[in-house]
Amino acid sequence: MSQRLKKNPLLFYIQKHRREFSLGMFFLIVTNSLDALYPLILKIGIDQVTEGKAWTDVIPTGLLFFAVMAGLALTRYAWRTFFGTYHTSAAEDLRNRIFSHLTKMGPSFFQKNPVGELMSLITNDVQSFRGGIGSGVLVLVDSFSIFAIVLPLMLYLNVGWTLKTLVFLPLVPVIIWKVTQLIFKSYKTQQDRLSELSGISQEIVAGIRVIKSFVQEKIRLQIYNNKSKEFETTSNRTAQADALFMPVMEFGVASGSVILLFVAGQDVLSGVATVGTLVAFQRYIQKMVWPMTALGLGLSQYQKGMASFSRIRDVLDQESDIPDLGAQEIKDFTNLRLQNLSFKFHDSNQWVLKKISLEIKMGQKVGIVGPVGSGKSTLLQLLTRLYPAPANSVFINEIPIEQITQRSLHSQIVLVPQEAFLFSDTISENLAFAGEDASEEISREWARVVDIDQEIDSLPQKYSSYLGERGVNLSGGQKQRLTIARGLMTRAPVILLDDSLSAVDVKTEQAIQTKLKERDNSQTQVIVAHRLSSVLNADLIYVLNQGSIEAQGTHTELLQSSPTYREMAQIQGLL
Amino acid sequence: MSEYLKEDQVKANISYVELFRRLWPYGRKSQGLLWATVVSILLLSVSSRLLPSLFGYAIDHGVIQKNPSVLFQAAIAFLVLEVVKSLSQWAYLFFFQKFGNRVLYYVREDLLRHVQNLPLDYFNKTPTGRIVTRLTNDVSNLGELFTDGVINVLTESVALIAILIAMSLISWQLALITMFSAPLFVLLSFRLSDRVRLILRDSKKKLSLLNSFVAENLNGIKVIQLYNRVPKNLRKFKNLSEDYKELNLRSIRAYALLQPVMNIFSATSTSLALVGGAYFVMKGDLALGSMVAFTMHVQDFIPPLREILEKYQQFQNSLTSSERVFQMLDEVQEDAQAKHSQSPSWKGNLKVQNLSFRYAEHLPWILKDLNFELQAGESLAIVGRTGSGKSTLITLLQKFYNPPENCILIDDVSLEMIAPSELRRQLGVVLQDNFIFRGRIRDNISLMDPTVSDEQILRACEQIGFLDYLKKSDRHLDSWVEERGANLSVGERQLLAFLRILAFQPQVLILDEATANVDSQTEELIHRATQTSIKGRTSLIIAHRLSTLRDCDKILVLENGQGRITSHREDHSSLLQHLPESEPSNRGT
Repeated sequence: MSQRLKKNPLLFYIQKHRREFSLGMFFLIVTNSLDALYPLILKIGIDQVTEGKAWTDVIPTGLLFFAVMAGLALTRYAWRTFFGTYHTSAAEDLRNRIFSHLTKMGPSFFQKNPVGELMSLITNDVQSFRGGIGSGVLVLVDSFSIFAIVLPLMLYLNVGWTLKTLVFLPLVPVIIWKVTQLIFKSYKTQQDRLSELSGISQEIVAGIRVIKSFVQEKIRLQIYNNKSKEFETTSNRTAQADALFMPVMEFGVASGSVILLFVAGQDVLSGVATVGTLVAFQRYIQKMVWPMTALGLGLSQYQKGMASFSRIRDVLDQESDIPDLGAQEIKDFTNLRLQNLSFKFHDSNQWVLKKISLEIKMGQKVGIVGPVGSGKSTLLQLLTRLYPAPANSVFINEIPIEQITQRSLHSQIVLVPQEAFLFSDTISENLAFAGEDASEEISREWARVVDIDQEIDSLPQKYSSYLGERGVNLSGGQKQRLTIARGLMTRAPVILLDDSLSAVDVKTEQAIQTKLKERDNSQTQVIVAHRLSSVLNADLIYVLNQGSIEAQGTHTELLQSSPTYREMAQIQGLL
Repeated sequence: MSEYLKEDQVKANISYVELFRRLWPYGRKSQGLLWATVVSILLLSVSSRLLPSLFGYAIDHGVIQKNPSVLFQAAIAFLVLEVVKSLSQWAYLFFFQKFGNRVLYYVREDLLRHVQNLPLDYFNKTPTGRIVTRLTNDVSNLGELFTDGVINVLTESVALIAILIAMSLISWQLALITMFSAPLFVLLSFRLSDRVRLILRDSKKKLSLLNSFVAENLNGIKVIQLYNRVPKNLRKFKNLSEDYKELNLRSIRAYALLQPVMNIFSATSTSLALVGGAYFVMKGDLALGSMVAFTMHVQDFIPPLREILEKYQQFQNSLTSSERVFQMLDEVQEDAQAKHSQSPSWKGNLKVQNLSFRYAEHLPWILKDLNFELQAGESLAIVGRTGSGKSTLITLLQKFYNPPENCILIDDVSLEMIAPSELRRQLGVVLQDNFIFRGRIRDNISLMDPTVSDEQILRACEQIGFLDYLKKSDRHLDSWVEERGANLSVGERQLLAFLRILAFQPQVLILDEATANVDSQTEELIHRATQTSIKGRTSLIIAHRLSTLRDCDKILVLENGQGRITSHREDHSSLLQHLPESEPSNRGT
């Protein structure tokens, strides 16, 4: 299924929505045929007048004209709705595929693909793909069908005129193409300038405090104005090219009409052709210009759509490095064992972790400390399988982690990541994120454990307060405490805290630890911290240095045995 | 990211008159282009209308009267008219856009100048994203007035009027007959077009909802995976996506209805022109050629109408955006005037007396009767937990909020007498999280201020051994710094802030020590930078490290807005309790 999509997305979606697509195409062609009929009827009417027929004789012609146009109105409505359904549904389908693919990917993917780019994939590229297989294809079919219908009619009216008046027509697509390139090129520079300009204003606003503090307002305005001027210049260049488009199209009609007046006059004078034919013919010349113009536009739109699709395909082609292929369910955590765990990120040669072996049993409180870059966070992310550990190096309940379903893994081991990420939702929704019972009572209970209940109660909306830009702005410490509560609320037997209290003061941290102990001492805790005070009470502390375990023991033991630990204690004033 | 997109919902209250009244001062500066546009539009309309008439003339005087020379002349005239038409078409589009670009330049300049002078309070209360949207998207939308909105509605309206005039000139009776249904159809079309617009607005809203959902989910993907939320959020996404599709389909259907309405109008008017024309020709009131010209005019009626209906929406867009832009221009700027001209040489004596402060009447007191005094060159460490009033004290000293009168004095001059710019030049501030600009390292030290010489930069760097530090990682002063200093460590960002101080050499230093984890090498440099910066400067330091406490002359302990000065004989470990947690993330920048 998805293989066919990647191979030929256009065909794939046409087949998927074949009814809408073919009905849309059918009505489009009917519309174009009816549209091509009307100059002929006009000709009949004019000829009738020229021949001096009674005006009542012209009434049927008028009615016929009306009937054709009314039919055209109906078929036009029909093709638009059918065709619209086809490409809108295709876009929805593709959007869903991309998003669902992204939810399977691990952090290494998101490091390679910044969120901004992925966003643009889901919005801009899907839209542009829809344009390609929608209006791009439409314009192409439209142009070809108009061409195929109108040209024979012109030849039928007068072969000589057709050849002479259309002599410049082939030039139209060439010139249009040139103009489009010109517009495209200057538009691109214009957009580049614009995004530079946005970048500057973004920085000015975000850095306003620095600017004000150093009284740099005038200088920043000068920098901004220079870029603004450049943007204006490139905008003018675009305008210059852009304004060419309509006149060029007109050129097709105009040249044909002028030639028509030169060549047709003689025929009309001599009576070979009628005035009606002349009028109808002029209308047909007009109709021929659009397909010539649109050909290039449709083609380029289709190409753009396919270029967007290839960007989408690049992402869809990236397999997850943490595929959920395990079949074993685990419950009732007993132990966690690392056996010779070595790890490096796949795009690097440097080992982040080297031959780590350790075991953590149910109920243990374990601390992991070490300098910046020693591999602490990576270790925790391997335990929750955000990154893939090599086979048979991480065991939970003696089952290799890669054989465990992610669902059951995450229900046993919960990680509170370093960056305190909360969603723009209410506090209670954020707390009960894993889908637990979100009653205010339970939420408050856990909020009390992390010592944030009073702060929440002081908010006007309490647990229904909305977080985020438009809602409550929390401090770093408050966010951290909420994320810990969120982790605790899952009631997972193992909780991993990745420097989760770094922004909370020592006193509060100690209070939290005491309350945690009182509440449920059977929970297994792994605490990664930079601040040693966070792990003082752990059963066992591992000192990680450059990816290896340098020492292990309790606080007092390590002060003796590990120089790294001792140095850290010294800096932090614990000696 | 897209929270602020939600304000697309805001409906414009600004009227067109108001819009143009406010835009005119910008436009007046380049009136020439505006007149060139008007002339081009008139030329375009006249030449466009002359063409069908010329066609009719050729039929009547050339074909019917069998006069080949008339036909030839007509063909030449046709050619000339077409050239005029094409040129004027190009000209009006180009001139008007050029005019618009100039106006936008002036608007942008004015807007940014204004924004930079808004009080800091405004920036604290308004999300960065929203302000940036004003400066960029909204100004761009305003620009559509010149590329897509006004200009089209304007030219096409002129075109419609020209067509009506041309038809009436041929035969006003026939014009009446063919156009009698026009008001009905035009009204109907506008109704439908309004509906399309409403649906489009809804679908835009849905799209921004969808976008913010995706953005948030991707940013928080880790949490979603770790907490087994993927299936639920996938369902949510599919629902949003489906809703968006439905709205799209509705807009397509509504728009598809608009077309036939215009088709039927065209059918009615053209068949009436045909039959009615035949009647008048038979009666001898109308020449055949004129009748042909008439039907051509009638058929030209639809495209401009369609154009107006389509562009009328963009007009609305620009209106909403322009309202937001003008609203921002109406925000009150901070008071930049000095009430007392201060002697340029500052010594740096700082005195805070009886300082009490709250942000607003209904809010609690942040600082309560604070008193301390620093002689020039003295240093003061401030300790206190979050909410004790430290940040507020800093912002007051920098006059980002107005302190009560006669409470803060520098060299015995009260703060309210000093212009903010004059004050800030003498106050150097290093915060926990210092904003770093995209550019070279050098630019981040000098802030691209031309008054800061290269020697000043170099001297600043040498003072703390920064160049050697850079060299170790193969960098130099011209190395590139990414947006927000993404390729620098937290410690390095802090170092740059110190270097700014050393380069600008203010008399007073305010330092909020960082708590973040920094590797030992950077740590050493920061320590050196701190000591260098304090030396000879009146310094206020929000301390997070015991070592800093030891280095300062005095210590101020802040607790719930009340302060007491202690000497450092006091046991440091008791002070440790007052060491704060890190600041709220929104304050730092």
